[in-house]
Amino acid sequence: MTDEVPLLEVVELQKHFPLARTLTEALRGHARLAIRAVDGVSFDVRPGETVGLIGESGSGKTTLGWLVARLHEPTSGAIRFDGRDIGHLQGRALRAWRRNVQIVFQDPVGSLDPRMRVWEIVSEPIRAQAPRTRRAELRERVRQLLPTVGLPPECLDQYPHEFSGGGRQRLSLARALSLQPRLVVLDEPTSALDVAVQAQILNRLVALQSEFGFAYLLITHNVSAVKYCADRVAVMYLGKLAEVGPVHAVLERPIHPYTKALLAALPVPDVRRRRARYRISGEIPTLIRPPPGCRFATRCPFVIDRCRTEEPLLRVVAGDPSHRVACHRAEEVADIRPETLIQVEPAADPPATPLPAAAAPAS
Amino acid sequence: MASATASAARAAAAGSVEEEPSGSGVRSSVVLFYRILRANILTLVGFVLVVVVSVTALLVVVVPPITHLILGHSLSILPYPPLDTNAFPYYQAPSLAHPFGTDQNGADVFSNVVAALPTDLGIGFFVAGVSLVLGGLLGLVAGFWDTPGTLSGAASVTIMRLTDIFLSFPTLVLALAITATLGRGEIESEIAILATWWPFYVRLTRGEVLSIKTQPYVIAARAAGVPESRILFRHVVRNLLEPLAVYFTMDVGTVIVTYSTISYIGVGVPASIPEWGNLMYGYQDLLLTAPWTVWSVTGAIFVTVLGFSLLGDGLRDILDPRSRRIVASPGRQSSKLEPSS
Amino acid sequence: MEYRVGAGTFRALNDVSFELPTHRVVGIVGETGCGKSTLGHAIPRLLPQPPAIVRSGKVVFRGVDLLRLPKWQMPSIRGTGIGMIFQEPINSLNPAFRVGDQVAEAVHIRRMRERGLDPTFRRDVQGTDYSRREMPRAGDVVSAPFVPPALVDRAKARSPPVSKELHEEVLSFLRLVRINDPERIVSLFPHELSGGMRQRIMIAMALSGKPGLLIADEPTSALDVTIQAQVLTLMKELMEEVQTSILFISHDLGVIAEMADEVGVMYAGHLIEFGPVAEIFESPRHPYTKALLRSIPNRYKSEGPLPSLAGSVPNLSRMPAGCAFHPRCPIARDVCRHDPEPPFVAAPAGPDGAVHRSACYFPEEVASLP
Ligand SMILES: Nc1ncnc2c1ncn2[C@@H]1O[C@H](COP(=O)(O)OP(=O)(O)OP(=O)(O)O)[C@@H](O)[C@H]1O
Ligand SMILES: Nc1ncnc2c1ncn2[C@@H]1O[C@H](COP(=O)(O)OP(=O)(O)OP(=O)(O)O)[C@@H](O)[C@H]1O
Ligand code: SF4
Ligand SMILES: [Mg+2]
Ligand SMILES: [Mg+2]
Repeated sequence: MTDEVPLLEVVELQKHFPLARTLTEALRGHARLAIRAVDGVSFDVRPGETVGLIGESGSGKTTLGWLVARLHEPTSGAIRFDGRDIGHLQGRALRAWRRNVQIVFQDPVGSLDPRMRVWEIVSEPIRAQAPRTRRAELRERVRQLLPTVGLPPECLDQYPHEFSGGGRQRLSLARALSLQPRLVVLDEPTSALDVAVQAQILNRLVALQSEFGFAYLLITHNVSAVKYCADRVAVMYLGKLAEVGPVHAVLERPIHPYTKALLAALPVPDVRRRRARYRISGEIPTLIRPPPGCRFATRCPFVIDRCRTEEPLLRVVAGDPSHRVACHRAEEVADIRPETLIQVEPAADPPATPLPAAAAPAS
Repeated sequence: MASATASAARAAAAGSVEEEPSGSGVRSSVVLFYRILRANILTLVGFVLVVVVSVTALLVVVVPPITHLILGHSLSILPYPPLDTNAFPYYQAPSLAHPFGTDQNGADVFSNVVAALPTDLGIGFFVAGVSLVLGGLLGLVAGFWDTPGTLSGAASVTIMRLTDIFLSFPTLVLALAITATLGRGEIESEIAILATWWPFYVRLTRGEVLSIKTQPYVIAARAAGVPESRILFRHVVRNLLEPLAVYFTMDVGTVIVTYSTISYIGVGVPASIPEWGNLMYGYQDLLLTAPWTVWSVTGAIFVTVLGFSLLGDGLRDILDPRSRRIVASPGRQSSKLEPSS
Repeated sequence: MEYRVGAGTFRALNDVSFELPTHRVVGIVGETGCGKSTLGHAIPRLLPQPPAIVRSGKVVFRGVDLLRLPKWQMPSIRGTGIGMIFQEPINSLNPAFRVGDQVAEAVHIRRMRERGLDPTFRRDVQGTDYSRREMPRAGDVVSAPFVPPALVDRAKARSPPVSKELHEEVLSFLRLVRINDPERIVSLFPHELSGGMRQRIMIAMALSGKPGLLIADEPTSALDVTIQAQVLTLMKELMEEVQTSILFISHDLGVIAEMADEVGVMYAGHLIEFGPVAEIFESPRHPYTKALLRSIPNRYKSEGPLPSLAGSVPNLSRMPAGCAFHPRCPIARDVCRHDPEPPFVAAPAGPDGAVHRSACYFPEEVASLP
């Protein structure tokens, strides 16, 4: 990666969803509470690259994607696209800007209007940008577009419910690509699909990227999808980034304890390494009153007192400036492999090593 | 590799491509309509009933003036003039000459019942139709622009509170109160029912709009840069039409029943106009002595209301592209049937 | 087993047969719509009929063919004989009742049955129907804001809603599923719990009936991987403590590899392979199993495209003749394309004598596939 101007730059972005107060709470002067879905996130996406965003469910991944696509108003922070702040665009300017960023939604069924035919759905963005385009021309453009996502051009007049899950996902993809956007936000593009179809879609995504040079923000909780598609990975936990770095570094040598916990939790289809035990326990705190210190402290196996009071900031660890981690003990735990968080069957295997950090509380 | 996945995908989609009746020609939609009717016998019954009833009502109204124009004197499709006192012997049981018998005034019951058809059906369509337009528009406004703190948000709240006020009265009582105030008459009683009728449409429409508005496909359109006004028509209104059409169709029957009740109580159209509620009022004492009078009117109301209900129910399938597929190509699995788990 | 719907008949299960030994875990894998849930629901006869029709077959549980049993006897099998855990924890718990009461009911039913009494189950009532239970009285709700809580508590103490002993047992089950602070949790409503906790409550409820067979239909698919790993660990530990057999349904090969002793692979309503977990994963004898294993994405972009299986699952109402998999099969020959379907035959007995059956004419060739 060269030092180009980032295509998308997000700085200290916050999105809070206010909760309704009851009358008595308001009278007693309670502060208005909010769900802090995205709570100070900074990252960037460079032209033509894929950034994978992984994390726990409810950690604010979709909210972040919607903020980037300007479907939510940010509570605070800046979103820059091509160096221009687009966080406050409105009306016509916003609609014109939308051609740059398109989004593929989490729910491939719900995001296609059941009463529209394929050509209407796929041409909707074109029509939005150029309302006077003729019907015949729209159909022609859709006809050319469909094969690029792997759909037969003859299905122009079909309805979305006539497609399988994978077919619908291809339709959403075709709609998102119809304007040749610069950035595509992919929200869980494969989570509703079976493994076989999932592989087809991921291959197609990567092929399209190398052909047209889109940048992707790939939001998913599927680590293997990120592994295959992404150049860089951002790991999110409860509204904050825990770790950001090149895909290889993050997946092969994860530093943040949550990343380790996540990788250790992946069920591997390998009967020789059947997990007997997973050594993470504890509950996820709410986003309404997040704990004051590190948000992973309730489940972290390496937690120390400092973690509960002082919030760790995202910082460069281990010399690689592109790899940043938000953990007080990043240096100490950097070399602990995720596998130490699980215990493998049968018990005849090397006896469980005690967790190093639990044994050696530092500083 | 690209070609490999492309062919894979083509194979994946192929199952849904073959024998596609592409295009939306008039002929294909007629064929489709026919197939849907044939597939569901109840819808077919409803459709036939509604067609028979409507055509009869139309003929009753248009045949006399047309024949007058052409022949110089008017003919009617009614066998005898309605409400014609002393035309025949009283209390005649049904016979070939008088299929529904005669009543206490010596009028032919069949003619009375059929003559009432245009009035009742007309009122049904009029009241339901005006409510649909009025309530639908208000509901659309109240549902689509409901952001609190804006002018339109305030309008939305106002509409809904007004609706609630109207809805908090029992329909019949309110309608009776209004007719009692306005006086007896066709227009007056229609206004009375209308006043109680539109709020249901506001509520229905607003509910539908609120749910459609948060559908992912509306957000997707917004993300594509589609202006709000176009979202309103392209997505919201289009998806509204089906539930509204279904409700409207069934509602025509409900209006007819309510209206008959009002005029049965004696505050509807003047007694000189044939109308089912009026007829019922006149026949109420004959249930034991000349039951055919009462049963004829009841039967007419029943058949009409049933027809609209059945058709309304079937309309849901006819208008929904998802169920269209099932019927259009037997044996194809519809996504609707798959459990969403 | 078929589903009959206006437009056609979906043959959701075809000649599926396997045994579930006691104290073993049998995993069922397969793509969406291949009939896994149908199988899981067919065993305790929980399928909605209509549209479902059981055409033929036997479900022998403890020597009794459940399909021949009169309908009114089924409730006494469910819960204490066969327990179920469903995919969606939020939909399987009644939102109107405190979780403690829901667990208590399950425990209560089991105890009554152990004593030969069966209070809630009349002949015509199926399953545990929460909607028939008593609702909180209106008086309680209305008086709550006005009556001092201390008074209410005293009144409650005088007439304990559940016996102390029952309460203790409920708490012990919640502790069993590693719920911290169960005294507090019992008085919460399902929506006040996280997904992982709800799923653990479901497991507690299922276990509290002490079933001989537990059918777990995608018990962790709705959960996050880290929470899933926590729940799976818990299930493994529980398997040691509570001796039951488990039918573990999942579409995730990783989860199956971790949990199951025996694995059945389903494709379009057919059980196409069944055998010990190690054999299924290391030396599959059906090309579909092989393809499924191969298409799990696990590589970087730079390592080339992901292997994927072309084509899609056939429509259950229009199955191809012969082997259901032949249109997508790389080793299909003429014999596969014509009826009858390939027989479900056992491979020559393996080293430990475990049977490994598959429905393919050429199981030996599978090993040479990429
Ligand atoms: N419109 C909204 N109003 C209020 N709260 C919201 C809204 N959208 C999201 N939230 C809350 O914000 C938090 C983050 O949600 P989000 O959908 O971004 O998570 P996610 O990481 O995408 O999760 P998943 O993996 O389940 O999709 C959740 O607690 C959610 O309840
Ligand atoms: N109530 C029903 N009516 C008609 N068809 C049904 C019904 N329930 C299921 N089916 C059909 O039966 C087939 C098997 O469904 P089933 O739910 O058993 O699949 P599954 O393997 O559990 O899938 P998933 O992984 O999505 O849970 C599907 O093709 C489905 O369309
Ligand atoms: S800061 Fe502390 S609690 Fe947070 S991840 Fe690091 S070690 Fe764990
Ligand atoms: Mg999401
Ligand atoms: Mg299922």
